[in-house]
Amino acid sequence: MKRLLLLLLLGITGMLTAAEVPLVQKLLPAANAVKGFKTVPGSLVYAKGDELSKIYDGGYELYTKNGVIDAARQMYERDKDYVEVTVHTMKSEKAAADFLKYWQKENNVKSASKSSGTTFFVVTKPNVTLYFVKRQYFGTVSAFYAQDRAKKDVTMFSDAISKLIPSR
Amino acid sequence: MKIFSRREFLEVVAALGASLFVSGCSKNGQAGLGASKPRKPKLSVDGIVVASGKGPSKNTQAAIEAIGGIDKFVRKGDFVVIKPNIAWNRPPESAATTNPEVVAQLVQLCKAAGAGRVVVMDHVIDRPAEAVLGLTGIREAVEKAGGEVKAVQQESDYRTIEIPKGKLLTSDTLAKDIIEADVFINVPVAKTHSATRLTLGLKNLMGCNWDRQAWHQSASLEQCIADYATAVRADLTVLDATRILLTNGPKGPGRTREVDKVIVGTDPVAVDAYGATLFGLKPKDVAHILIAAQMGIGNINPAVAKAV
Repeated sequence: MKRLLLLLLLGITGMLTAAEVPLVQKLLPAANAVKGFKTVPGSLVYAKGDELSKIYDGGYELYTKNGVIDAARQMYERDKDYVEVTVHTMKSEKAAADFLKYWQKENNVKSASKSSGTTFFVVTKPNVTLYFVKRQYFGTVSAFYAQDRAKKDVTMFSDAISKLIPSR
Repeated sequence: MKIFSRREFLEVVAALGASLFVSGCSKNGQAGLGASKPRKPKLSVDGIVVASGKGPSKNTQAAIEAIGGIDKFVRKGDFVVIKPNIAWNRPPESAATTNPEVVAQLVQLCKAAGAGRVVVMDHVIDRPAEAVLGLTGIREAVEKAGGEVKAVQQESDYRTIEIPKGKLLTSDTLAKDIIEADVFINVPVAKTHSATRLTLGLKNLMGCNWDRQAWHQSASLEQCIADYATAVRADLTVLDATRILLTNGPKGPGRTREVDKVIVGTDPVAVDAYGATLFGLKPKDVAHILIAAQMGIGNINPAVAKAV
């Protein structure tokens, strides 16, 4: 009986903990979602509102001003290759689309591509970074190694995130 | 177990009350008994030195030589603390963190001058700090040069300092290694910053303090930067402008430009004033540089003493 109660208690605690995980954090790919990449222990950060300074320090106001509500960031590694993924919940789909345009302009990128409901573009200097938007989610995937491999990997990460974003 | 007498108990209560009263008087609640005095620079050299075109390591070496040599600042057995910007998980080509070759050259010079310990430290923002130290190239470069690398991530790594000339800050925290150092060298990277336009030497000192968020939430981030700089003076500021970040600072990714310069001076305002010009700005257009100059920290119109 005692064991049953204990299991029940553990189950309830587990459910409550899972329920507390913010939605945006659930959009971060799991280990091996992109083959060979594991998550870097201790690298997960979730922040909301002014706490976005935990991710962007003094630069966070640019994000809040442009409609970022919250964000989750995680680092991934494969041998010595590092990838950083940041997904943001925007206040609306329009705010997300506008923020992508803002970054397009910042990076002098004329047009973005579309695939399976995701709009994205890739810049290659100084590092390979893919910027994407799907529904009200805006994200970046940066890879810090040789361009040819990095370009392939950031696309795979973007695809993995896109699959986690529920369709309308 | 010790049992207090009534008299001893009253003495302890009185002492606790007094200490709570004193800490309550400080503006930000951090100062208390035993706060350290402001950190003063060892010496002052007029003007700044700009070394160009030789790559990060040789530019650093040439600039230090031109300002009179590291021996002018570092004595045998000294404890040296070097504070680059290693806040972000970015490789050197992103220009979001100080070039490891600049830092390694400084470590080598200090060691050659007979320094005892040379510690390279920062309050790292991205997590985990250990991965950041690897990706920035700092750990490998510094350890190869004979220095130690330290991420100061715990509140217990910091002590309270007085800021008697501060307008918004009358006290704050400072990494205890810097308080204890015989020589403190500030080594920022030159980059844009969405909140303060630029981050150079004065702004880089923000990473010596425990609670950054308090400054962001204050009435004026720029005033906090200037206030802090009245009390936390580096012996040398070495501005890494090997590659500068032009957009999306402080973390990037953003557009960068190869400048191939290292700027050195004892006057932090002078170094920053020159740094601002690398971005096509007038020094007075960057509020915290202007405020720092108005508070008498340094010269906003410096002469380039030597270009090498």
